[in-house]
Amino acid sequence: MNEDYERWPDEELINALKAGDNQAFKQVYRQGYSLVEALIIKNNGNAEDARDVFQEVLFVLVKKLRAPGFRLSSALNTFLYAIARNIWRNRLRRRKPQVEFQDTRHDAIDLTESDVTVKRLFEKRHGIVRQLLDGLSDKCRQILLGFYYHKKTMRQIGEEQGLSEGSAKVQKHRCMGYLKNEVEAHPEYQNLINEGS
Amino acid sequence: MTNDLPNLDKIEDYLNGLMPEQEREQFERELDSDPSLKKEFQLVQDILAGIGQLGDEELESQIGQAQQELEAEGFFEKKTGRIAALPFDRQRWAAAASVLIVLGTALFLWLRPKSSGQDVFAAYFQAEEAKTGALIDDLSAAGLLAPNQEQRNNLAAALKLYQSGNYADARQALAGYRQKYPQDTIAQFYLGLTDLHLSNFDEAVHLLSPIVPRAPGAKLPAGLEDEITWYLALAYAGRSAEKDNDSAAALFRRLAANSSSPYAARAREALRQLE
Repeated sequence: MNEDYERWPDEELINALKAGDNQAFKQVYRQGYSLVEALIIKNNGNAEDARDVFQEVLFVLVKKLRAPGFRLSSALNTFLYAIARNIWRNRLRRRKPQVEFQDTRHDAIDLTESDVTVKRLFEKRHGIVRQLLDGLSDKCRQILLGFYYHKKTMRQIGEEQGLSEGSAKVQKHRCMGYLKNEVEAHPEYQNLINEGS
Repeated sequence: MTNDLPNLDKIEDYLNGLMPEQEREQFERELDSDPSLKKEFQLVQDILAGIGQLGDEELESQIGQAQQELEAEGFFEKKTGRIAALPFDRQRWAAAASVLIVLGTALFLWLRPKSSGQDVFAAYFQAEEAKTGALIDDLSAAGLLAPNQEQRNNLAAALKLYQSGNYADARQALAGYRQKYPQDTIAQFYLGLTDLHLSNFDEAVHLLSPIVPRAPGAKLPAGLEDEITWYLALAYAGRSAEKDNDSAAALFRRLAANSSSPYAARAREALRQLE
Protein backbone atom coordinates (compact mmCIF):
# COMPACT_ATOMS: atom_id res chain seq x y z
CA MET A 1 0.00 0.00 0.00
CA ASN A 2 1.32 3.42 -0.92
CA GLU A 3 1.46 5.30 2.37
CA ASP A 4 3.19 8.66 2.43
CA TYR A 5 3.01 9.02 6.18
CA GLU A 6 4.44 7.26 9.17
CA ARG A 7 2.00 5.01 11.00
CA TRP A 8 1.65 5.49 14.73
CA PRO A 9 1.36 2.40 16.90
CA ASP A 10 -2.22 2.00 18.20
CA GLU A 11 -1.30 2.56 21.82
CA GLU A 12 0.49 5.81 21.06
CA LEU A 13 -2.39 7.02 18.92
CA ILE A 14 -4.99 6.11 21.55
CA ASN A 15 -3.10 7.95 24.29
CA ALA A 16 -2.70 11.01 22.08
CA LEU A 17 -6.43 10.99 21.21
CA LYS A 18 -7.37 10.72 24.86
CA ALA A 19 -5.09 13.65 25.62
CA GLY A 20 -6.74 15.70 22.84
CA ASP A 21 -3.60 16.04 20.70
CA ASN A 22 -4.54 17.79 17.43
CA GLN A 23 -2.04 15.80 15.39
CA ALA A 24 -3.62 12.58 16.62
CA PHE A 25 -6.98 13.49 15.07
CA LYS A 26 -5.31 13.99 11.69
CA GLN A 27 -3.40 10.77 12.14
CA VAL A 28 -6.63 8.80 12.57
CA TYR A 29 -7.75 10.17 9.20
CA ARG A 30 -4.48 9.10 7.62
CA GLN A 31 -4.63 5.61 9.08
CA GLY A 32 -8.34 4.85 8.94
CA TYR A 33 -10.16 7.10 6.48
CA SER A 34 -9.64 4.91 3.37
CA LEU A 35 -11.17 1.96 5.17
CA VAL A 36 -14.31 3.88 6.12
CA GLU A 37 -14.58 5.64 2.75
CA ALA A 38 -14.47 2.28 0.96
CA LEU A 39 -17.20 0.92 3.24
CA ILE A 40 -19.50 3.89 2.60
CA ILE A 41 -18.95 4.01 -1.15
CA LYS A 42 -19.48 0.28 -1.45
CA ASN A 43 -22.77 0.66 0.39
CA ASN A 44 -24.61 3.35 -1.57
CA GLY A 45 -22.79 6.35 -0.16
CA ASN A 46 -20.53 8.96 -1.70
CA ALA A 47 -17.34 10.83 -0.77
CA GLU A 48 -19.31 13.54 1.02
CA ASP A 49 -21.13 10.93 3.13
CA ALA A 50 -17.76 9.40 3.97
CA ARG A 51 -16.37 12.69 5.29
CA ASP A 52 -19.50 13.37 7.26
CA VAL A 53 -19.64 9.87 8.73
CA PHE A 54 -15.95 9.89 9.56
CA GLN A 55 -16.40 12.99 11.73
CA GLU A 56 -19.09 11.18 13.69
CA VAL A 57 -16.96 8.03 13.89
CA LEU A 58 -14.08 10.00 15.31
CA PHE A 59 -16.37 11.71 17.81
CA VAL A 60 -17.78 8.37 19.00
CA LEU A 61 -14.32 6.78 19.05
CA VAL A 62 -12.78 9.48 21.24
CA LYS A 63 -15.76 9.45 23.63
CA LYS A 64 -15.51 5.67 23.92
CA LEU A 65 -11.76 5.78 24.50
CA ARG A 66 -12.22 8.35 27.24
CA ALA A 67 -15.04 6.48 28.99
CA PRO A 68 -13.96 5.23 32.41
CA GLY A 69 -13.11 1.54 32.47
CA PHE A 70 -13.10 1.18 28.70
CA ARG A 71 -10.33 -0.96 27.28
CA LEU A 72 -9.77 -1.84 23.66
CA SER A 73 -8.46 -5.27 22.85
CA SER A 74 -8.81 -5.29 19.07
CA ALA A 75 -6.81 -3.20 16.61
CA LEU A 76 -7.87 0.43 16.52
CA ASN A 77 -8.86 0.27 12.84
CA THR A 78 -11.00 -2.82 13.45
CA PHE A 79 -12.86 -0.89 16.12
CA LEU A 80 -13.08 2.22 13.96
CA TYR A 81 -14.55 0.15 11.14
CA ALA A 82 -17.13 -1.41 13.45
CA ILE A 83 -18.29 2.02 14.62
CA ALA A 84 -18.47 3.28 11.04
CA ARG A 85 -20.48 0.27 9.94
CA ASN A 86 -22.96 0.83 12.73
CA ILE A 87 -23.35 4.54 12.06
CA TRP A 88 -23.72 4.04 8.31
CA ARG A 89 -26.22 1.21 8.74
CA ASN A 90 -28.33 3.39 11.01
CA ARG A 91 -28.22 6.26 8.55
CA LEU A 92 -29.26 4.01 5.69
CA ARG A 93 -32.12 2.72 7.78
CA ARG A 94 -33.29 6.27 8.42
CA ARG A 95 -33.15 7.04 4.71
CA LYS A 96 -35.79 4.42 3.94
CA PRO A 97 -39.15 5.96 3.04
CA GLN A 98 -41.28 6.27 6.14
CA VAL A 99 -44.57 4.41 6.25
CA GLU A 100 -47.48 6.55 7.27
CA PHE A 101 -48.43 5.84 10.86
CA GLN A 102 -51.97 4.56 11.24
CA ASP A 103 -53.31 5.12 14.72
CA THR A 104 -56.27 2.84 15.34
CA ARG A 105 -56.25 2.98 19.12
CA HIS A 106 -58.43 5.67 20.60
CA ASP A 107 -56.89 5.33 24.04
CA ALA A 108 -53.35 6.07 22.85
CA ILE A 109 -51.95 8.80 25.05
CA ASP A 110 -51.28 12.20 23.68
CA LEU A 111 -48.11 13.51 25.15
CA THR A 112 -49.02 16.32 27.42
CA GLU A 113 -47.17 19.59 27.36
CA SER A 114 -45.55 18.66 30.65
CA ASP A 115 -43.30 16.06 28.95
CA VAL A 116 -42.07 18.59 26.47
CA THR A 117 -41.71 21.19 29.19
CA VAL A 118 -39.49 18.95 31.34
CA LYS A 119 -37.11 18.45 28.45
CA ARG A 120 -37.08 22.14 27.59
CA LEU A 121 -36.36 23.10 31.20
CA PHE A 122 -33.39 20.73 31.38
CA GLU A 123 -31.96 22.00 28.14
CA LYS A 124 -32.31 25.62 29.17
CA ARG A 125 -30.66 25.02 32.54
CA HIS A 126 -27.76 23.18 30.93
CA GLY A 127 -27.43 25.97 28.38
CA ILE A 128 -27.10 28.51 31.20
CA VAL A 129 -24.32 26.49 32.84
CA ARG A 130 -22.63 26.16 29.48
CA GLN A 131 -22.67 29.98 29.07
CA LEU A 132 -21.39 30.56 32.59
CA LEU A 133 -18.43 28.26 31.92
CA ASP A 134 -17.20 30.85 29.41
CA GLY A 135 -16.91 33.30 32.28
CA LEU A 136 -14.56 31.09 34.30
CA SER A 137 -10.81 31.52 34.20
CA ASP A 138 -9.10 29.41 31.59
CA LYS A 139 -7.41 27.42 34.34
CA CYS A 140 -10.73 26.60 36.04
CA ARG A 141 -12.31 25.60 32.75
CA GLN A 142 -9.42 23.31 31.88
CA ILE A 143 -9.47 21.70 35.34
CA LEU A 144 -13.21 21.04 35.22
CA LEU A 145 -13.11 19.81 31.63
CA GLY A 146 -10.07 17.67 32.40
CA PHE A 147 -11.67 16.00 35.38
CA TYR A 148 -15.30 15.69 34.39
CA TYR A 149 -15.12 15.41 30.62
CA HIS A 150 -11.71 14.00 29.77
CA LYS A 151 -11.79 11.85 32.94
CA LYS A 152 -8.20 12.68 33.78
CA THR A 153 -6.84 12.01 37.25
CA MET A 154 -6.09 14.91 39.57
CA ARG A 155 -2.43 14.01 39.27
CA GLN A 156 -2.50 14.39 35.47
CA ILE A 157 -4.38 17.67 35.77
CA GLY A 158 -1.89 18.92 38.36
CA GLU A 159 1.03 18.10 36.05
CA GLU A 160 -0.60 19.97 33.16
CA GLN A 161 -1.37 23.00 35.27
CA GLY A 162 1.96 23.06 37.14
CA LEU A 163 0.28 22.19 40.43
CA SER A 164 0.68 19.42 42.97
CA GLU A 165 -2.09 16.81 43.00
CA GLY A 166 -3.40 18.24 46.29
CA SER A 167 -3.43 21.82 45.01
CA ALA A 168 -5.19 20.74 41.83
CA LYS A 169 -7.89 19.09 43.93
CA VAL A 170 -8.35 22.20 46.05
CA GLN A 171 -8.48 24.30 42.89
CA LYS A 172 -11.12 22.00 41.37
CA HIS A 173 -13.32 22.32 44.45
CA ARG A 174 -12.93 26.10 44.35
CA CYS A 175 -13.88 26.20 40.69
CA MET A 176 -16.96 24.06 41.34
CA GLY A 177 -17.88 26.27 44.29
CA TYR A 178 -17.50 29.40 42.20
CA LEU A 179 -19.53 27.94 39.35
CA LYS A 180 -22.21 26.77 41.75
CA ASN A 181 -22.57 30.30 43.15
CA GLU A 182 -22.74 31.78 39.66
CA VAL A 183 -25.39 29.29 38.58
CA GLU A 184 -27.50 29.84 41.67
CA ALA A 185 -27.25 33.62 41.30
CA HIS A 186 -28.43 33.47 37.69
CA PRO A 187 -32.01 34.84 37.72
CA GLU A 188 -33.20 32.79 34.76
CA TYR A 189 -31.81 29.60 36.28
CA GLN A 190 -33.79 30.25 39.45
CA ASN A 191 -36.93 30.87 37.41
CA LEU A 192 -36.44 27.60 35.58
CA ILE A 193 -35.96 25.73 38.85
CA ASN A 194 -39.13 27.24 40.25
CA GLU A 195 -40.99 26.49 37.03
CA GLY A 196 -39.95 22.85 37.22
CA SER A 197 -40.80 22.28 40.88
CA MET B 1 -14.28 30.94 48.25
CA THR B 2 -15.68 27.87 49.95
CA ASN B 3 -17.15 24.92 48.20
CA ASP B 4 -20.80 24.59 49.13
CA LEU B 5 -21.34 21.21 47.57
CA PRO B 6 -20.88 18.97 50.61
CA ASN B 7 -22.14 15.83 48.86
CA LEU B 8 -20.26 16.32 45.60
CA ASP B 9 -18.11 13.16 45.87
CA LYS B 10 -21.13 11.02 46.72
CA ILE B 11 -23.20 12.45 43.87
CA GLU B 12 -20.36 11.87 41.42
CA ASP B 13 -20.05 8.24 42.54
CA TYR B 14 -23.80 7.78 42.05
CA LEU B 15 -23.84 9.34 38.60
CA ASN B 16 -20.75 7.39 37.50
CA GLY B 17 -22.29 4.10 38.65
CA LEU B 18 -19.52 3.62 41.22
CA MET B 19 -21.85 3.18 44.19
CA PRO B 20 -22.51 -0.35 45.44
CA GLU B 21 -26.14 -1.43 45.06
CA GLN B 22 -27.08 -1.15 48.73
CA GLU B 23 -25.53 2.30 49.03
CA ARG B 24 -27.22 3.35 45.81
CA GLU B 25 -30.65 2.36 47.13
CA GLN B 26 -29.98 4.21 50.39
CA PHE B 27 -28.86 7.27 48.43
CA GLU B 28 -32.03 7.19 46.33
CA ARG B 29 -34.14 7.06 49.50
CA GLU B 30 -32.23 10.08 50.85
CA LEU B 31 -32.81 11.90 47.59
CA ASP B 32 -36.53 11.38 48.00
CA SER B 33 -36.63 12.53 51.61
CA ASP B 34 -33.98 15.28 51.82
CA PRO B 35 -34.87 18.42 49.82
CA SER B 36 -31.44 20.04 50.28
CA LEU B 37 -29.69 16.92 48.94
CA LYS B 38 -32.13 16.82 46.04
CA LYS B 39 -31.40 20.46 45.24
CA GLU B 40 -27.65 19.87 45.37
CA PHE B 41 -28.04 16.76 43.20
CA GLN B 42 -29.97 18.69 40.58
CA LEU B 43 -27.40 21.49 40.57
CA VAL B 44 -24.46 19.08 40.17
CA GLN B 45 -26.30 17.31 37.34
CA ASP B 46 -26.86 20.64 35.60
CA ILE B 47 -23.23 21.65 36.04
CA LEU B 48 -21.93 18.32 34.73
CA ALA B 49 -24.31 18.48 31.77
CA GLY B 50 -23.06 22.00 30.99
CA ILE B 51 -19.45 20.81 31.19
CA GLY B 52 -20.38 17.88 28.94
CA GLN B 53 -21.81 20.32 26.37
CA LEU B 54 -18.66 22.40 26.44
CA GLY B 55 -16.48 19.28 26.09
CA ASP B 56 -18.53 17.98 23.15
CA GLU B 57 -18.33 21.36 21.44
CA GLU B 58 -14.56 21.40 21.84
CA LEU B 59 -14.22 17.85 20.56
CA GLU B 60 -16.41 18.59 17.52
CA SER B 61 -14.43 21.69 16.74
CA GLN B 62 -11.14 19.82 17.10
CA ILE B 63 -12.33 17.15 14.67
CA GLY B 64 -13.64 19.79 12.26
CA GLN B 65 -10.32 21.60 12.46
CA ALA B 66 -8.39 18.40 11.69
CA GLN B 67 -10.61 17.75 8.66
CA GLN B 68 -10.17 21.33 7.39
CA GLU B 69 -6.41 21.13 7.71
CA LEU B 70 -6.32 17.83 5.85
CA GLU B 71 -8.57 19.30 3.17
CA ALA B 72 -6.13 22.19 2.75
CA GLU B 73 -3.32 19.66 2.41
CA GLY B 74 -5.22 17.95 -0.44
CA PHE B 75 -5.72 14.76 1.55
CA PHE B 76 -9.25 14.08 0.26
CA GLU B 77 -8.47 14.86 -3.39
CA LYS B 78 -5.67 12.32 -3.27
CA LYS B 79 -8.03 9.74 -1.85
CA THR B 80 -10.95 10.12 -4.20
CA GLY B 81 -8.90 10.96 -7.30
CA ARG B 82 -6.48 8.07 -7.10
CA ILE B 83 -8.28 5.28 -8.96
CA ALA B 84 -9.92 7.49 -11.60
CA ALA B 85 -6.57 8.95 -12.63
CA LEU B 86 -4.83 5.62 -13.14
CA PRO B 87 -3.96 4.64 -16.73
CA PHE B 88 -5.17 1.28 -18.05
CA ASP B 89 -2.11 -0.82 -17.16
CA ARG B 90 -2.00 0.56 -13.70
CA GLN B 91 -5.71 -0.19 -13.34
CA ARG B 92 -4.93 -3.84 -13.98
CA TRP B 93 -2.27 -3.67 -11.32
CA ALA B 94 -4.77 -1.97 -9.06
CA ALA B 95 -7.26 -4.79 -9.69
CA ALA B 96 -4.60 -7.38 -8.83
CA ALA B 97 -3.72 -5.41 -5.73
CA SER B 98 -7.41 -5.31 -4.70
CA VAL B 99 -7.55 -9.10 -4.93
CA LEU B 100 -4.51 -9.28 -2.69
CA ILE B 101 -6.08 -6.81 -0.29
CA VAL B 102 -9.27 -8.88 -0.16
CA LEU B 103 -7.26 -12.04 0.49
CA GLY B 104 -5.13 -10.21 3.05
CA THR B 105 -8.24 -8.88 4.80
CA ALA B 106 -9.77 -12.36 4.91
CA LEU B 107 -6.53 -13.71 6.38
CA PHE B 108 -6.43 -10.84 8.87
CA LEU B 109 -10.03 -11.48 9.91
CA TRP B 110 -9.27 -15.15 10.32
CA LEU B 111 -6.08 -14.64 12.28
CA ARG B 112 -6.96 -11.51 14.24
CA PRO B 113 -7.34 -11.75 18.00
CA LYS B 114 -10.88 -12.23 19.27
CA SER B 115 -12.72 -9.07 20.22
CA SER B 116 -13.45 -8.64 23.87
CA GLY B 117 -17.03 -8.38 25.06
CA GLN B 118 -16.42 -4.68 25.67
CA ASP B 119 -15.46 -4.15 22.04
CA VAL B 120 -18.65 -5.88 20.97
CA PHE B 121 -20.64 -3.72 23.35
CA ALA B 122 -18.97 -0.54 22.12
CA ALA B 123 -19.44 -1.44 18.49
CA TYR B 124 -23.09 -2.42 18.72
CA PHE B 125 -24.46 -0.22 21.44
CA GLN B 126 -24.62 3.36 20.37
CA ALA B 127 -26.73 6.16 21.63
CA GLU B 128 -29.01 6.18 18.63
CA GLU B 129 -29.27 2.41 18.59
CA ALA B 130 -31.53 2.27 21.59
CA LYS B 131 -33.62 5.29 20.74
CA THR B 132 -36.70 5.23 18.64
CA GLY B 133 -38.18 8.22 16.95
CA ALA B 134 -41.60 7.84 18.46
CA LEU B 135 -40.93 5.82 21.57
CA ILE B 136 -44.02 6.72 23.56
CA ASP B 137 -46.33 6.52 20.55
CA ASP B 138 -44.92 3.13 19.63
CA LEU B 139 -45.38 1.77 23.13
CA SER B 140 -48.82 3.22 23.35
CA ALA B 141 -49.86 1.86 19.96
CA ALA B 142 -48.60 -1.56 20.99
CA GLY B 143 -50.75 -1.37 24.13
CA LEU B 144 -47.67 -1.58 26.35
CA LEU B 145 -48.35 1.37 28.60
CA ALA B 146 -50.23 1.13 31.87
CA PRO B 147 -54.00 1.77 31.78
CA ASN B 148 -53.86 4.36 34.57
CA GLN B 149 -53.55 7.85 33.07
CA GLU B 150 -51.44 9.34 35.86
CA GLN B 151 -49.10 6.37 35.79
CA ARG B 152 -48.77 6.63 32.03
CA ASN B 153 -48.00 10.32 32.21
CA ASN B 154 -45.33 9.73 34.85
CA LEU B 155 -43.69 7.06 32.72
CA ALA B 156 -43.98 9.17 29.59
CA ALA B 157 -42.15 12.06 31.32
CA ALA B 158 -39.33 9.71 32.40
CA LEU B 159 -39.08 8.17 28.93
CA LYS B 160 -38.90 11.64 27.39
CA LEU B 161 -35.75 12.25 29.42
CA TYR B 162 -34.38 8.94 28.19
CA GLN B 163 -35.25 9.80 24.63
CA SER B 164 -33.56 13.18 24.86
CA GLY B 165 -30.33 11.46 25.89
CA ASN B 166 -30.37 12.85 29.42
CA TYR B 167 -29.58 9.50 30.98
CA ALA B 168 -28.60 10.65 34.46
CA ASP B 169 -31.95 12.37 34.91
CA ALA B 170 -33.79 9.56 33.16
CA ARG B 171 -32.22 7.12 35.60
CA GLN B 172 -33.45 9.10 38.55
CA ALA B 173 -36.94 9.52 37.09
CA LEU B 174 -37.27 5.85 36.12
CA ALA B 175 -35.91 4.63 39.46
CA GLY B 176 -38.42 6.89 41.24
CA TYR B 177 -41.21 5.59 39.01
CA ARG B 178 -40.26 1.97 39.74
CA GLN B 179 -40.44 2.62 43.47
CA LYS B 180 -44.09 3.49 42.92
CA TYR B 181 -44.82 0.85 40.30
CA PRO B 182 -42.36 -2.02 40.86
CA GLN B 183 -44.36 -4.39 38.62
CA ASP B 184 -44.00 -2.24 35.50
CA THR B 185 -41.64 -4.22 33.28
CA ILE B 186 -41.56 -1.51 30.61
CA ALA B 187 -39.99 0.87 33.13
CA GLN B 188 -37.68 -1.95 34.22
CA PHE B 189 -36.58 -2.46 30.62
CA TYR B 190 -35.91 1.22 30.01
CA LEU B 191 -34.11 1.59 33.34
CA GLY B 192 -31.88 -1.29 32.21
CA LEU B 193 -31.23 0.51 28.92
CA THR B 194 -30.48 3.72 30.78
CA ASP B 195 -27.92 1.84 32.86
CA LEU B 196 -26.35 0.56 29.65
CA HIS B 197 -25.99 4.14 28.44
CA LEU B 198 -24.34 5.01 31.74
CA SER B 199 -22.10 1.91 31.55
CA ASN B 200 -23.66 0.54 34.76
CA PHE B 201 -23.41 -3.00 33.46
CA ASP B 202 -24.08 -4.77 36.77
CA GLU B 203 -27.31 -2.86 37.20
CA ALA B 204 -28.32 -3.43 33.59
CA VAL B 205 -27.82 -7.19 33.92
CA HIS B 206 -29.67 -7.16 37.22
CA LEU B 207 -32.66 -5.35 35.66
CA LEU B 208 -32.85 -7.11 32.30
CA SER B 209 -32.16 -10.72 33.23
CA PRO B 210 -35.47 -11.28 35.12
CA ILE B 211 -37.51 -10.13 32.11
CA VAL B 212 -35.64 -11.88 29.33
CA PRO B 213 -37.59 -14.68 27.60
CA ARG B 214 -37.06 -18.08 29.24
CA ALA B 215 -36.06 -16.52 32.58
CA PRO B 216 -37.75 -18.41 35.42
CA GLY B 217 -41.11 -16.78 36.12
CA ALA B 218 -40.35 -13.96 33.71
CA LYS B 219 -43.15 -11.47 33.22
CA LEU B 220 -42.37 -10.07 29.83
CA PRO B 221 -43.51 -6.90 28.24
CA ALA B 222 -45.03 -8.52 25.15
CA GLY B 223 -43.50 -7.42 21.87
CA LEU B 224 -40.17 -6.49 23.38
CA GLU B 225 -38.73 -10.00 23.77
CA ASP B 226 -36.09 -9.62 21.09
CA GLU B 227 -35.10 -6.16 22.28
CA ILE B 228 -34.62 -7.38 25.84
CA THR B 229 -32.58 -10.36 24.67
CA TRP B 230 -30.39 -8.13 22.50
CA TYR B 231 -29.71 -5.54 25.19
CA LEU B 232 -29.13 -8.13 27.91
CA ALA B 233 -26.56 -9.75 25.62
CA LEU B 234 -24.87 -6.36 25.21
CA ALA B 235 -24.99 -5.80 28.98
CA TYR B 236 -23.14 -9.09 29.53
CA ALA B 237 -20.68 -8.18 26.77
CA GLY B 238 -20.09 -4.76 28.30
CA ARG B 239 -19.57 -6.14 31.80
CA SER B 240 -17.16 -8.80 30.55
CA ALA B 241 -16.79 -10.50 33.91
CA GLU B 242 -16.02 -14.21 34.08
CA LYS B 243 -18.47 -16.23 31.95
CA ASP B 244 -20.24 -13.05 30.80
CA ASN B 245 -19.04 -13.55 27.25
CA ASP B 246 -20.58 -17.05 27.32
CA SER B 247 -23.87 -15.61 28.50
CA ALA B 248 -23.74 -12.91 25.84
CA ALA B 249 -22.89 -15.48 23.15
CA ALA B 250 -25.80 -17.72 24.20
CA LEU B 251 -28.24 -14.82 23.84
CA PHE B 252 -26.79 -13.69 20.51
CA ARG B 253 -27.09 -17.29 19.31
CA ARG B 254 -30.75 -17.36 20.33
CA LEU B 255 -31.45 -14.23 18.27
CA ALA B 256 -29.33 -15.39 15.35
CA ALA B 257 -31.29 -18.63 15.16
CA ASN B 258 -34.56 -16.78 14.68
CA SER B 259 -34.37 -15.55 11.10
CA SER B 260 -37.53 -13.45 11.49
CA SER B 261 -35.96 -11.41 14.29
CA PRO B 262 -34.82 -7.91 13.31
CA TYR B 263 -31.75 -8.57 15.44
CA ALA B 264 -30.76 -11.84 13.72
CA ALA B 265 -28.16 -10.38 11.34
CA ARG B 266 -26.58 -8.14 13.97
CA ALA B 267 -26.53 -11.00 16.47
CA ARG B 268 -24.71 -13.20 13.96
CA GLU B 269 -22.09 -10.50 13.40
CA ALA B 270 -21.66 -9.87 17.12
CA LEU B 271 -21.37 -13.59 17.73
CA ARG B 272 -18.65 -13.91 15.09
CA GLN B 273 -16.68 -11.14 16.80
CA LEU B 274 -17.16 -12.63 20.23
CA GLU B 275 -16.24 -16.15 19.21
